Amino acid sequence: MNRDEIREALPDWVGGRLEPERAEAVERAVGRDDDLRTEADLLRALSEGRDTVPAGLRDEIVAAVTRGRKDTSNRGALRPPLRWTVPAWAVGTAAVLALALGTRMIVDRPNPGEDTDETDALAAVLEGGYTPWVADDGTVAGAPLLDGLSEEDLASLLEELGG
Amino acid sequence: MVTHDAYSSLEDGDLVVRAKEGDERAFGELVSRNHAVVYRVVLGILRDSDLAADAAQDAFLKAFRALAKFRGQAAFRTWLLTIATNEARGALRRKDVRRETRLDDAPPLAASGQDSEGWVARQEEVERARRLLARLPEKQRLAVQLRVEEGLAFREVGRIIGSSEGAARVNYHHGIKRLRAWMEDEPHEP
Repeated sequence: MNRDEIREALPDWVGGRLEPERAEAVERAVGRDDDLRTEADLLRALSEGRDTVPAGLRDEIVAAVTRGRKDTSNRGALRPPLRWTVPAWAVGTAAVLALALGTRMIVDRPNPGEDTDETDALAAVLEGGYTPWVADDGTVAGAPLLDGLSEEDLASLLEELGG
Repeated sequence: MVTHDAYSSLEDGDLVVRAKEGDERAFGELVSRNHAVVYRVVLGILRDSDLAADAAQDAFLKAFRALAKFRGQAAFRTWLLTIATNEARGALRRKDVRRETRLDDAPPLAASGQDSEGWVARQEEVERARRLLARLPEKQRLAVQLRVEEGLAFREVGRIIGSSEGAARVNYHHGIKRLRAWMEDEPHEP
């Protein structure tokens, strides 16, 4: 393993997820390289401090999903047949929204042709009635805009970052 | 008929197939395997434990409702975390949550076998790293969190944060570089 590969494997080494042979190679490299050791210490601190999960959360989720399943099936049985009496203004609004969303999804799409499950995720989120993937300015400030860069540009940037 | 023990040995994909058919125990097993990572990811965005628990629950509900449309072209965990991330972002916008990490939000750390002085010093180091992590821009923070805490590959990280694998890798390294600089510049007062 070269140094870049060692650095890339550090999170898995710290997390005990590497197979023994690779783990030994990383351990040897970390032992003789102060820079890698400093990074490993940081990763270990981040990993050790990860948030604890509230007791009972798993059961609450299962109960909520079970209730949701029953609600859905009851609603299906009791709900009167849908009547498609949509006002004209709603059709116009829907068309504008569809166009805006479609444009946004095309522009933001990370990997064209590979995003069918992300699209499903988006559809699931849209049920909540808000727009997904909106980042507020405070969150984005200071973050590099990377998604428009070519793989070559990303590789150059990665090299500058020492990754 | 699948026994309880047999569920824990099934792959996620098999559990998804069973859950689609209405097998509640299969979905229960998927919840068991993924509720912790979902909670930690949404907590990383919301920084509020109550909101994070609600968002995690909502994410599973949405996943359950959309499960019939899930085709398995990404791992179930990746798909679920994409929903969870969006859910947390939506909750953030709806609730106008303050993004700063409050010190009293810091989770208690388990005692280790170190002596008390060493343990306290280590605890300070861990808490400082966590506070500095919360300062990173969202994509860098999520890339670091998903890679380090959850061991996800950059391809998965990219899908979840909405970027390419290469951009996820750069976000991770950029985040780590900034964290290291902050740790060195502000050794005691982040």
